[in-house]
Formats: sequence, structure tokens, C-alpha cells
Amino acid sequence: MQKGKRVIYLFLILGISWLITGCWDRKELEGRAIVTLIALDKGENNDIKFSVRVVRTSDSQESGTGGSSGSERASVIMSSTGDTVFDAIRNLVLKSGRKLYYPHNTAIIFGNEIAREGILPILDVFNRDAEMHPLTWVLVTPGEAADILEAQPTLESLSAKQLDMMLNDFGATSKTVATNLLDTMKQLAYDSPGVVLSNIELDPNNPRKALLLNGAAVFQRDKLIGRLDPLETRGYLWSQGKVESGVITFPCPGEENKKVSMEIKRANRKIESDISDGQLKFTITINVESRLAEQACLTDLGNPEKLMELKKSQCEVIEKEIRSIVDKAQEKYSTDILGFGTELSRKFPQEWQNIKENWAEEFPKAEVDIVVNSKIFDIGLIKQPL
Amino acid sequence: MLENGKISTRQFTLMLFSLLLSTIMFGLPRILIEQSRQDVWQVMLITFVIDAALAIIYFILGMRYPRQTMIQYSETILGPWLGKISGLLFVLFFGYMTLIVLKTVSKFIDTVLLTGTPELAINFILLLITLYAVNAGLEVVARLSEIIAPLMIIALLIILTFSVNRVELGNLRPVFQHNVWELLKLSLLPISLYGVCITMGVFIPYHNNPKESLKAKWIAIGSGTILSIMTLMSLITIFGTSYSSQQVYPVFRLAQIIKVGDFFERIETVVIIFQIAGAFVSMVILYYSSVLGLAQIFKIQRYQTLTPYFGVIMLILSVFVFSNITEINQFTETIFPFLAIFIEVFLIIMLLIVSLIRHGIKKT
Repeated sequence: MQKGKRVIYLFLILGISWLITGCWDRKELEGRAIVTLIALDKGENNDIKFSVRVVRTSDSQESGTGGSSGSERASVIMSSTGDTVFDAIRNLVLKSGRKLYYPHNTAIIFGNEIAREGILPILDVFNRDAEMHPLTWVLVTPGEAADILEAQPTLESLSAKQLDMMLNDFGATSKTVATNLLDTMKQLAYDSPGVVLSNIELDPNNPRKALLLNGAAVFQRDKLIGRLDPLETRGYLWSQGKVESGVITFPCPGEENKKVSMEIKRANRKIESDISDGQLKFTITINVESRLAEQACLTDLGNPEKLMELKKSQCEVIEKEIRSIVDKAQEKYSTDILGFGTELSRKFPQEWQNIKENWAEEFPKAEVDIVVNSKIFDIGLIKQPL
Repeated sequence: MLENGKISTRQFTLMLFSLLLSTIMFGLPRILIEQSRQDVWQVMLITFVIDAALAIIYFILGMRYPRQTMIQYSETILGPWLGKISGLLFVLFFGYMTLIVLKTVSKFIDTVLLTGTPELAINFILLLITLYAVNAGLEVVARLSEIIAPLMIIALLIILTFSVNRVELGNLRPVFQHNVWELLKLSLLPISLYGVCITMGVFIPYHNNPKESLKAKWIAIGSGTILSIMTLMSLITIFGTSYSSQQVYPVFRLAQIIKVGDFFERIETVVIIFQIAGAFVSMVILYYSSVLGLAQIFKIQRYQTLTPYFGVIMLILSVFVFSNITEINQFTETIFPFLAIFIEVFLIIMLLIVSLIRHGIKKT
């Protein structure tokens, strides 16, 4: 008995080694190619062009010492085509040999053409596959997305890392949006089916291709219909309550040709809807706290009366920013990108069932009020310029 | 006696708790949010109340027939033949639940963690360790849940705490969109899944203080309900109802999006391992209840003789039933509630009535 037990234990212990050797789907680091950026374009024969920027794991060390071209050689661009995105992803293996590894992908960039035809069919695989991460950034470019991959990093060693940092810090200016895959899908799932994604370009002023976030792109449901300039984008962010910080400039009281800069410190917004008298009415209320960051004029602004004037002009500027995006959404795009439909469906769920059907016609007719309350709480270290 | 082990009140509670939590954490959140949207917490509260009421029946029967499991007392109540059939129905239910939990876990591992591994290999290894734990007896099963239940709670609390920064409270509206009748209809599915806790009928005789078992069950399902409501509410506030009902495994998605600072991220695997451990505990409990019940029906001396056969049957069945997650979900949504409610509500009420008629009201 005792002996029999020992034999069984021996086999069990040996059996462990049989189990811990690994799984069917083990991958060695040398066999991996880590994808950092994905670009999707429309191919020539109505198929999908799929390009990736891949980090070379095995020899990134030695190429890192190769002087200025180090960053170029640390990562390479590859592309393939296919009938569907997944087909193209797999076709890439025909060229790379290594199966690409996607969990560390930073961003998915859409070319203009493919975005106009709709991004939902393309995004499906990124939502479905367990290897893709929901916090991947989603961006649009006015040209070919593959060109963006060629951008050179300026401060970081990888352009993907730099892009990630640029998007994480979008709040410093609040002149662009940072939308990840999760946010994109959520926006599409809400009752206001308009999506706003960040717009990326190559910096025209930099001969060595550098990245530049420039405003935002507007989608009607999942189809690209237009673009917002940086200030309209901030108007959009105001309406979403997503402004983190940023600089508001306007003429100095008294000296119209000189400007003052106000730094936004805190902001929040509230949307209220009303349908009581048959007319759809929305009120956007913004509360903003800011500080005087800079003045180019020589007037003494360090007294309550002047600050009151600044406050008034600041409210006007913010209201103008929001009004510009509301007008654009209602008149030019006729698309509810501002979340009014979602707000309505939450406050008046029964009535929304009727409005839902022709929301596209109702939305442009809605009356929108904008109320801005602002507060200047700091003037910095000096009272007046001199 | 087939089983000489005794379990404490704490073990009894944690066994039911981990069984419940792991059963309702995989596929259920998506279905629940899809069906009852923002009103899901009301559905869960109704479920809790109904299940707590049902527990009283199991408790009364357990008290009237001390030292007998539900399989044994159905024979005492209904006589040898009808009693065996009713006992077999319970065993079949446990067996079925074992299979469902096994398939759900292995499908999940197959989709998310080990995408290249054949499902049979996962099932085989899962069943092998389950078999080992079951053979070790009730006390080991109980201690296993004592270890794993806290880990499950910690894992869930990690997900809920670190995803708080993405909460959008606006998603909680509109609320109260269903009337009472609709809510009752919607709670049919969660009630049927809460039904796995009828395993309390198997464990009451081994409880060292059976009088406490009703309270223990209430605590177990109460805390299970609180945790699941918290999870469902975070899913709704963070993802919104439409996105949540799009996800096959919403809790996994929730773990995926956790990002605190630049270093605390991609913890989904850790969390998922705890979730799988929880499912393993519930498999062990259900597997144990099935083989113990079978042994009691057929008057076999040691239930351990049956475990390998049961395991082989499970392995073979696992190849043929439910070839993908949609089939499991469809089954859970359409057929399962009726099957489960027949067994866990009607069968037991019938047993209680017959028992009252045959053995009088005053039997202790």
C-alpha cells in the first residue's frame, strides 16, 4: 500500500513537469513583433490596406547605438491588403514571418477615404479579438493613414510613445480630443449617434515628418462628414464638460490691439432639456474657474473692477466658442454630436420613443441656450506689468 | 454515512457565497443589463427576496429530516420509487450545472487566455483537479471555498475600486421604466441561477449547527447580491447599457480598462485567474453534490467510486453540448429558467406539502 502510493506520487510529480512546459499557444519573445501603431486605408481594389509600425525586438539594442538613424531602425513599417481587416492582418504574416503582437498597440489611425465609408465595420475586429485593447486611441487623418506611420519622433524614441503622450496631455490646450476605442464605441452606442475623433496630421512646418494634433473630425454615426478647427473643438469639449485646462485669449480691456491670456483651471458643464411647450429647448450651463496668466497690455488689471471686465469678456469668448460648434452641428452637419439626444432620452424616456424616429430632423430645430458663469480666482505673482 | 465530515457555519456560508458569485459573474451581467437595463438592481433585489423566501422551505425540510440530504429525504417523503426519481432530478440538475459551469469557464479561457489550446485539454485538466478535490471529501471542499472566496471578493473589489475614475453617473438614468409585473418576469432568469444555492439541501446535514444554516444562506446570498449589484452598477455607469449588453464578458472588459497612473494597468489576467478559481470552487461543489446524491440514490458505500465515471461522462458531454458561447447563452435565457424553477421551486414545494401530509406538522 505504502509503496503503491509512493509510485503514484512519483508519477504525479513527474506529471507536473509534463504540464508546466507550456501551452499550445506559447510565444517566445524572439518570435514576437510588437505592433505600436496601426493605420487603415482604402486599398486600390476596394479592399483594405492595413499598415503597422512594428518594434524590432531582437536587434533594437544594437540599432539603438546607430546614431541618428537609431529610431528609424528600431521600428519598421509594413503593410498588406485584404478583403477584411482580419484578412489583411493575417496576410501581413506572409511578409513578416513573425506573427504580430497587438496588445501593446497605441493607436488606430484611419485614412480619410475609409473613414468616409464608415469605421464601424473596421472597428469590429478590434472589439472582438481578445488581443486588442479597449484603451487604444482612435484617430483620423485627412490624407493617407499610412503616411502618418512614417512620422519621426522628436523627443521620444518611438513615435507611438510620443503620440500617446500628446493625447494624454490634450487637456493642456483642450484644442483637440483624445478618444480611445472604448469611448468611440460608447459614443456610437448612445442615443446621440455622433462621434468626434482626434485629427492627426504631419506638421507642415517641420521638414522631418513630425506629428501634429490638429482639431477633430466629426462623424455622423460612423461616417466621417467633416472637421473642426482647434477652437471649435474646444467648443465641443466645453459642451461635453471635458475641458481640463487651456488658454483663452482676448483683447485687453482698454487696449484693443494687445491681448490677455486666461488659463482655465477648472470647468464643468450641465445640460438641461425641456420639451414642455412642444419646442425642444436645451440649456448648456458652464461653470469655469480661471486665472490671469499673461497680459500684453500695460493697463493695471490687478483690481476687482478690471477683473470683472475680464470675466465678462471671458464669458463672451467661451460662449462664442460653444455657439460656433452648436451652429455647426445644427446647420452644417445636422448631426447631434453634443449628446442632446442622450440627455433627452434620459430625462424624457417616454417622449424620446417618439422623437427618436426623426431626431435627425428635430435636432437642427432645437433651441439652444448657453449660460457661462466664470470666476477669476488668481492673478499670479505680479499685480501689474510695471 | 457516506460522508463523515462536518462543516462550520462560516464554511457553509462561504461555500454558498462562492458558488453563487461565480455562477452569476460570467455570462449573466450581459444578459441582465440587456433585459432590464437601468432597472437591473430592482430585479436583483426581487431575486434576493424570493430566493431568501425559498431558502426557508429548504431549511424547514432540512430541520424535519435531520441527518438527511435532500436526495435522502425525498425518498423518505415520497417512498422508494417516486423518491428516487425526485432525487435523480436534483442530481441531474447539479450535473447539468456542473456541465454549464465547466463549459462557461473553458469557453472563457479559450476565448481570452489560451486561444490556441484545444478546449478538451482545458476541460480535462479542470475536471482532473475537480475530481481530486471531490475525492478528498466535504471538509476539503469547504476549506477550498474558505480560501478562494476571499480572493474572489478581493479581485472583484480591485476591479470596482480602480475603475471608479471612469464612472459617469448620468448613465444611471432613466430608471423605473418597468412595472412590478415586468420586473417579476425579468427576475425569472436570475432566480433560476440563484437556484444553484439549493445545494444547501445537500449540506445542511453536515453542518455542525444546522439551526444556523438559514441565517448562513441569507448572509451568503445577501452578500452575493450586494456584490453583483455593485458590479452591475459599475458596468452601467462606466460602459452604459448599450455597450455592456454588446460585451460577451463585461466584467473582463471592466478589468481590461483599469489604468491607474502609468504603471497599474493590464491586470485583467490576475483578476481573471481569481474568477476562474471561483468557477473551479463552484464546479467542485456541484460535482460533489452530484456524486454524493448518486451514491445515496443507489446505496453505494463510497461515493468516491463514482467520481471518475462522472468525470468521464462530463468530459464526453463537454465535447457534444454547447459548441459556442451563444448556445450557452440562448439556453440560459430560454429553456433553463423553466427547468431550474421546476426543480428548485415546484419540486421542493411539492416535497414540503407531501411531507406535511404524511408526517404531520409537528415532526421535528
